[in-house]
Parts: sequence; structure tokens; C-alpha cells
Amino acid sequence: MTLAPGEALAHGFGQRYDLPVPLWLWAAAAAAAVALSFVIIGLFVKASPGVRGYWRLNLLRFPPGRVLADRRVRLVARLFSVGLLVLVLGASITGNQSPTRNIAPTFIWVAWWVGFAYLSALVGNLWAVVNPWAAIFGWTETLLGSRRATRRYPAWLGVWPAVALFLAFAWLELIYTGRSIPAQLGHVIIGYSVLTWTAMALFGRATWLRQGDPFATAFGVLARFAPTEIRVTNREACRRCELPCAGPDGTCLDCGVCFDRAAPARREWNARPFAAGLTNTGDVSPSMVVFVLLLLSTVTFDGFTATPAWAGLEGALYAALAPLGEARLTVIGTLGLVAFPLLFVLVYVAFARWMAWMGDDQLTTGTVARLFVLSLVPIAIAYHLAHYFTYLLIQGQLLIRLASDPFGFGWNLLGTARYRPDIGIVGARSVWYTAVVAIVLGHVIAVYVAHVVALREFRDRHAALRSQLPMLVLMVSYTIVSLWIIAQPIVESR
Amino acid sequence: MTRRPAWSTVLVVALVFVATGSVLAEPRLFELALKDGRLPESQRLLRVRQGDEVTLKWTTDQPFTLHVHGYDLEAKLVPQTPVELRFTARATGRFPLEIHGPGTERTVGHLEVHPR
Repeated sequence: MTLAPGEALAHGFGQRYDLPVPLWLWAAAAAAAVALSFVIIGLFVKASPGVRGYWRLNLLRFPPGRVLADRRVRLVARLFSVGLLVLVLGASITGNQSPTRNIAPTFIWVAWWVGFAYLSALVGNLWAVVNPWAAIFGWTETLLGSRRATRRYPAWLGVWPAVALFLAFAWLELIYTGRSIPAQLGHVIIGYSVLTWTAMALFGRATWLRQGDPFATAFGVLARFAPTEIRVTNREACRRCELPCAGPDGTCLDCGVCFDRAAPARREWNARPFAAGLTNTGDVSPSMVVFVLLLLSTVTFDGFTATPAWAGLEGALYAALAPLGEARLTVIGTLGLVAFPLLFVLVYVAFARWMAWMGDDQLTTGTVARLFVLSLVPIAIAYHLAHYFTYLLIQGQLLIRLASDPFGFGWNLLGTARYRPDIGIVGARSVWYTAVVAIVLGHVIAVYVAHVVALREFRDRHAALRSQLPMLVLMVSYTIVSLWIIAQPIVESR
Repeated sequence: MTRRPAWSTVLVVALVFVATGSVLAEPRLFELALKDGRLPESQRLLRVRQGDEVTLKWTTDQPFTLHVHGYDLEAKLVPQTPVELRFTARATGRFPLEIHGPGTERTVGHLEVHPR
């Protein structure tokens, strides 16, 4: 299949059937975002709500919580997850190569990539529990006897490997034309497995997952928004941990290594308010700032490629790059995919400089950049929820059919092989209101989080509040761009 | 007790609204002529409202298989034989109209079903 200019680069795989949000709703949402921002500012000018820590409830104090967190339950979840990996890999290589008749494309792009992003943001860091690559490596270590990592992970590397690998993954998702061909996905899985296990053997499993693995890092960032966390209250153990997981109060958050080692009485599996985890900024390194901005920019880029603005740009470049022939669209897409994160980083650093200046230069630009990058995450999550809402509901239904015939061999294991997706499962009006409410709510949460961090980090209250004016300009712009994308007429075919 | 009349008024108004909505469901006929696998510019976007009875009457100068995405309707098109696709636009959304032929697979237009 060849793409003509103007034909939208569809995300990963499958069609989206969304109608653009009507203009009046877009305008109302944008106005609401601005107005509510000032309500939050007013709130913080009068008092300092929620600046000192946040509400936590240890779910391990209740029997259902203890059952869910039990070692055996986690083992069953991991076995299931490894089974799914084997099934998807097997189907991708040996199954029917039609994208909709093989389970691999739908499972990978819809259920796993979009679905797990939803789960991570709205439930908790489940990927850390069920990651099949981590499970297989862990079991192998247990069988062969745990070896020490052969190499020390260099500190200067930060999460740069995760940045590079995530960019490569985004290219596969948004640009690569073979992304919906099962066998190609199978090869990608094999390549990723070899790379992951080699790196785990070199640097240690936990270190690689925390610093180098793009998915553990991405789902980890999204899960900071989630209403659950794991925590260890044994300060001594946290300090001795090989990972830089100890927080400012000495306890450690979301560190699986410490959690497994800690005495049961020192373990907590907490419920917490949404987005509270985004105020934990202690471990955000410069490379992590870039990772978060990369994550946000690829989500925006995905939406942007369906707008007439992109089609115009693409059309102009298509003519200009005539000598490149067939490869032109891939080249143009790749340029866009690289330009977007660079633009995000430039704009963000400029705003960080402005914020530092407004805060009387009490904090350096670099510090400001590290402190506030996570507060942008709620807007990205909201936009992601809005963007993929119908996609997940409609394309996700294909799994009902594929579960009966994962290889596309004509089986009917569960009697659902002839299931037809219901495209009327959700109407356009509900989709519009859900999308707009999600984005405005995400914006409000983002402004709140940034204020909490500012009041905690700046020495005086006035500098803290002043620093938030540039942040507010940045957030309102980001929110309005997100709303603008979902209100754009999707480009016409030629 | 004084609230009840208010609620019944709301209910009646809502029922009238729904009733007129369904009465307003219109038959919509589009005569679409594919030439060299393309539709004229003005026919690449077909807009209807939810509930409309839609008829797509196709003619073509080359054989193709036509596929309406989402609604998942298929028709074999051959020259000199008009083909009618008739359906109720019950689901909202934006659905690509795609043709498949030997060596071709392209979107020729979109059907937009807007909510009432």
C-alpha cells in the first residue's frame, strides 16, 4: 500500500471514526480552562492547600488489599502476561498476515499500548507488576542463581537510553509503514527482547528498568498521576538500595526492589489523590525532563498529523523533496517526529528561564525545568484519553473476535469469531463532551500541581506565586493546542 | 408535590423533541460516479444526520470493490451497472469510503454522520 500526500498517517493501526469537536464547544472549553486557572490562582493567593504532603491510605490494612498484593496473585498475573507475550509473538510470526485477522497488531497497538497507558494513569503502575520481559529475566536469574551485574551503569547516562528507545518506538508507531504487518511486529518484539535481556544482564534488571527501558519509564511517568503507589518506610533499606529511590523524607516510593526486600510491616500499598505522585520531583534528572517532553510531544504529534495544517506542510515538502521519490512521506514524517520534541524542549526551557526570573532567580533555570515538567503530565493524559476514547472502544472490540482465532486460521475457540464491532457503542456527542471535560479537568489539575510544587520550593510566597504566571501561559497554550487538534476537520483524501 | 408538574413538562418537551427528531430523519440520496477511481471534488465529503435513510448510488468506469468503513458494507462495482447501497445511519462518526481493485487501495471520500 502506498500513501499519497494528504492521506493522514493513521496512528499505529486501525481507523479512528471521530468527528471533530464543534467550534463553539472548543471555544467554550478554552474559555473554561482560562477562567478556572484564575479560580485556582485565587485559591492559592488566599491559602496554601495541600502543600504539605498528601493523603494516603494503606490498602494492605484491609484483607482485599492483602489478597491483591499477595505474591501468589502477582505470580499468576505474571504467568498470564508471559503467556500473552508468547501467544502474540507466535501469532505474529506464524499466523495469517492480514492485520485485522491476526491478533498481534490489535493487541499491541490497541490493548497494550493505548490500554496500558489508560491503566497506568487511572489505576497504577501495573506494568511494573506484569512486565513479561522482567518476569522471564527474573525467573532465569532464580534458576541459574542470581549473578551480579557485570557493569556499573554510568550515572551520566541518566534515562537517555529510554529517550532514544522511546523515539525509535514512536517512529514505529507513527511513521513506519510496516507497523500493522504481523511479521514485522514479531521481528520488533524479538529485537526488543534481545536488547532488553542483554542490557539487564549487563547493568542489572532493576537498574535497566528504571533507567533504560522505554516502556517501564513511560508507564512509570503516567502512573505518577495514578491514585495508587507502593512505599517502603524502612529508611535504612531505602538508603542502601542500589537505585536512587530514597525520597526527601528517607522513605522510598514506587521502588519494587525495596518493596520486595522490606519486612511486611514496612510495606505500604497506598491509595492517594489523583496526580499527587506528580509532586514527587526528587528523582527528576535533566534526561528525565527530556523524556517527559518527548512523551508529551509524540502524543501531540500523533494528533497533529491528522490536521489540515500538517497536510498543507506535508504537501509543500512533498513537492520540494521530489528527488527522494517513494521515501518522501517517511522522510517528512520522520522530520516532523524529531522536530516536535525539539520544539517542546526549546519552548519549555525558555519558559523555565522566564519562571526562574519571575521567581527572583531563587532557583536556577535547570532546577525550575526539573521541578515543573511533571506538572504538564495531566494535560497530556487528558488529551490522550480524549484522543483515543472511541479508538479504544471500537477497535478494542476486535479482540473479542480475535480471542477466538488469534492466528487467523479460521478457528472459533470461544464462539466469538464472528463478532462484529458495534460502531454505535458511543455517540459523537458523548465523545465530544467526554473529550472536552477531560482536557479542561486535566488542565485544572496541572495548574494545581504546579502551584503546590512552587509553594514548596520557592523561599517566599510572592516569588512562588509570581513564578506561576509564565507556567500558566504555557499550560493554557498547551491546553488550547490540544483542544484545537480535536476540533480540526480531519484531512480529506485526494 | 409542587415539583411534579415541572418534571412532567420536562418529560413532555423531551418526548416531543425526540419525536420530531425521528420524524426529521430524512431519506438522503447521493449519486456517486467514480471516474478512474476518483470522485469529483464536491462529492468527497458526504454529510448526513444520525437516523437518516442513506442511499449511495454508485456508477464506475472500472471494476472495484467498494467498502464503507465502520458500517462495514461492501459492494462489487462494475462499469455500466449502477449499484445502490441502502442503510440507516444509526452510528455517528466519520467513515472512510474505500475502493479495492487490482493493485489499488484508496480512500475516495468520507461519510460523516452528525448527531441530531
